[in-house]
Amino acid sequence: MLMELRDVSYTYSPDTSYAKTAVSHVSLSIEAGEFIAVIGHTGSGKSTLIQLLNALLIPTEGQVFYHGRDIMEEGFDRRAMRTRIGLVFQYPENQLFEEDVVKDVAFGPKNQGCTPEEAEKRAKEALRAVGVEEKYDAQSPFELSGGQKRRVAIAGVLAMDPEILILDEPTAGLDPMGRDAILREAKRLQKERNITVILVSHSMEDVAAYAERVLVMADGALLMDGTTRQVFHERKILEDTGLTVPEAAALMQELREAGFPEGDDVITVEEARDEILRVFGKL
Amino acid sequence: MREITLGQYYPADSLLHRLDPRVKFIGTILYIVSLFIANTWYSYILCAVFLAACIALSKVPVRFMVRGLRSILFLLLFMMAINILFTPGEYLFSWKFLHVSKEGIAVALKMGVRLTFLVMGSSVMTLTTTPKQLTDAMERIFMPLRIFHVPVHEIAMMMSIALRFIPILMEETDKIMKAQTARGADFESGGLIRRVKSMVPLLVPLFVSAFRRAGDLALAMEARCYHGGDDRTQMKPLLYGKRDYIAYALLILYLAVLILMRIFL
Repeated sequence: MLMELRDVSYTYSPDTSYAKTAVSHVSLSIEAGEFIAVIGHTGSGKSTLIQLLNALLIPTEGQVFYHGRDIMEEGFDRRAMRTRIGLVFQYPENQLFEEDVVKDVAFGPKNQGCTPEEAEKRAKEALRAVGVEEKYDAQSPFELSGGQKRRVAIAGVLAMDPEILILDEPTAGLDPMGRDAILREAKRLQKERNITVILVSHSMEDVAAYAERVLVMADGALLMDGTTRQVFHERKILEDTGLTVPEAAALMQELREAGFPEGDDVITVEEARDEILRVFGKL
Repeated sequence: MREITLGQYYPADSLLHRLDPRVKFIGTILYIVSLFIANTWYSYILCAVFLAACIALSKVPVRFMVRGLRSILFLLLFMMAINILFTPGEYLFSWKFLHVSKEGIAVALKMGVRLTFLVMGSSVMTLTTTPKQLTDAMERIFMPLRIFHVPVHEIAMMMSIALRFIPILMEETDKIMKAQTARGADFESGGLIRRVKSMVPLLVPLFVSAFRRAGDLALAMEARCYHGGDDRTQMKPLLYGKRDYIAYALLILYLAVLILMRIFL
């Protein structure tokens, strides 16, 4: 088991009149190589949850285990742990600061204690992995387009060779092409390097297409934890918390209500197409 | 990070909170002037009573007023010490070149009282007035300066924008700090030079974002045909009410009594 949360709660400014519990009594475990999506309404505690996973926030209650060790244990190096759990915040391009792209990406590896040469090598590898071409290496990150900046920022986290890659709405504000490219890249990293990917997303279509497991947050609690198919099968529960199911799943459900015989567990457009063709092929 | 609040407005529903901010602004200045008119212990008692009455009317806990004093504590003690030690007069105690005189103690005490009242008096204003109200008040008070081509409205607008942006930039700082911490940045340990260097990954993105926001705001204002001060009306113009005139009357009365005390006592 890579990581485990045991009855974790987090309260902002505890013991004051502003106290707000953002995450309450969440228990879950994460294995190597999983692709997990976190969904939930705005303010449901998603962002707090991922910061707890990265030890940027220390739980006010409960325990977090990383490789079986309690992160609160005396002598546990939380800074080293943070560099192995790459967290890409929303609009990560806002964190760029160096004079050229390679230097910026090398910031993380350097903080991990790599030599300058090693850091540069890793930076270049990470840049190629997210699809930023070599011609941009020596450019100022501020001169790139929005999508390119986002990729550079993600490369900055990737260059640290994380075991877990947490992406907080990595596709917000990107065009459809850029969106697919980033998510496909995340999927490839999961498959090829066995990195665990945790994706926070508001797009049920993206979740259906890429995630294998879904965590549903509602009012700070972990409402559901199951495979993508299981979770999207519970249309009623999801809609009660202000979420939806993917459009393809909604379509199939409405077709079924109108008498269509198949497609109960369809979640992606491709699956819906195949089901419909199959049924019509039989006719 | 979150504890740094701007100004120190204390929300409450009191007579002082409802008073027109212009009255409070002018009142504070007059009160500071009055502290320098006062020169006898009797007049100081009057100043103290006036201040106490304002604090009571403001419904703000006294500890908030006292908190303002903490920042000037060093200055206060330093000034009092200098006055005690270097005022010539009837010496009570001497050691080498340091002398403690009766007059020195009196001057130091008066000075201390003056400074304390001054800070507490201005705290009463900042605790009962939002920064926004204060800029509005200043804009109206300094309006006559437009005759001398002072861009009063523009200055007031810049002040309100600056005030509005402080919490946003604080939040932004917090976000960037977290993002860089997640990349292994370390803002706490190391010597002075290392620490200053470690601020670069924080400051560069912060400046970039501040400029971007400024540009966006300017564009948004122009898109709404903003054109500066001339002929602009306010959504909530400041209007004097009965209680504001009464407050002015009381202020003048207070000041008059103090002046008379200075002349005749």
